[in-house]
Amino acid sequence: MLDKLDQFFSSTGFAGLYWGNLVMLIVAGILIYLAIRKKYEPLLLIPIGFGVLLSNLPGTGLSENGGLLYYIGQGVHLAIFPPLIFLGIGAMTDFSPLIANPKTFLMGAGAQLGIFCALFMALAWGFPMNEAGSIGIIGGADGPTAIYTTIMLVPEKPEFVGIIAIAAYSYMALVPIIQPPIMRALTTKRERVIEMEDLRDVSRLELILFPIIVTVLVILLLPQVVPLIGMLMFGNILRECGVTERLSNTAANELINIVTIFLALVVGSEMAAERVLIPDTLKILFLGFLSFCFGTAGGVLVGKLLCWLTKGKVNPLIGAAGVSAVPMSARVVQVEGQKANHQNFLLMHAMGPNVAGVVGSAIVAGLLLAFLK
Amino acid sequence: MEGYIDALELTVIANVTLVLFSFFFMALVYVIRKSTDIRKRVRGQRSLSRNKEC
Repeated sequence: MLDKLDQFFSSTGFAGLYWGNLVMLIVAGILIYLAIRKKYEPLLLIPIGFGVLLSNLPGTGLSENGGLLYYIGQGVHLAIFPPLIFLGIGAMTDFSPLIANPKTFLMGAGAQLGIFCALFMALAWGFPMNEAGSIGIIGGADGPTAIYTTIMLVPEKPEFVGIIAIAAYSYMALVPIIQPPIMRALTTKRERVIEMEDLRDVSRLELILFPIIVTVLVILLLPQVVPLIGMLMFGNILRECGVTERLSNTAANELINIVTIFLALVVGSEMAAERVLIPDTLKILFLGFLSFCFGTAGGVLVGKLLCWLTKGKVNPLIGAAGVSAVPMSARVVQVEGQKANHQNFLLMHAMGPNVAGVVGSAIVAGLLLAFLK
Repeated sequence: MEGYIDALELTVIANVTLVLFSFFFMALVYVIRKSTDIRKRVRGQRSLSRNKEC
């Protein structure tokens, strides 16, 4: 009888449970709590949190060869899901604020500063060059780009994807907390109250030519980044051409939702305790945070430069939106602008550097792949 | 040390690429905008001269 009980106990998950699993179950609980209670990126943190939960219950074999998540995970490991997410993002993104005020592209470029700062700090902390590159890309504040770059740069460590994705999405969710102190510290009250002129109307021709020209130019320059930029611009032309409404709607709704479910679930399931509970994880989270802070600072500093060059026509706050994190960081700019001046409406102006940040981080990802892969 | 030099090279090349891309993008938008304006003006003049003929 006791033998039977012992046999039964060893066949249950309880027998394989150890303290690491319990810690990760708490982490899963925190992610789900933040998503539900605080509404921090719920579309991502719920599936990621549940993926963490599933992968830390012993004996399921879900992520092992033959398990359900193993097969779904091939979409991540073969780098299929991030470009599909970019297709959906392209179908949702309106590039007209960037086209109407193209100099805001410089702020999107300046906000990539965080990537390089984190790259150097990661090197100083003893990470090899390829891992340092994937840690740096957290500062691009672009989940699919960060995941894609990590898959390509660190294929031998699947858990790296999970840690990088958790860091990227967590900091994106925390943009309203991380960015405002940096924005206020780097700008004067006089700069924050600047009201910007209304954006001009952008013609349909410009909106159609934009994805075509960017695709040709970026891909000729950086062929490594074709899956990201190609899909982003393909999604955008579906949106802007005006004759593929069904395809555009599918890419912007059903497709991106389905792929997000799979991608986030798999990313969470890579976070098994034995792989993640190592000192390097804390280092990566810390470097990712710094990367985000430096990225914000870089965008604001370029904003200040443009403010000076245009003799006060550009509000430097909009530079903070250059870190991508669409549209959260643009909303933060709007809130900060209104705190300084109730008449200030910076949201559409901030969308320029915001979408420029998406293209900018993809360009940097391409360069990282070209140099480090 | 070699890693830092590589990282520095990468940083310089990436930032130069980003800045050049930004300026190219600005120039491109300017050219497209001007050509759109010219097209509009030509179209406007044509319809004006057609109206005069009528």
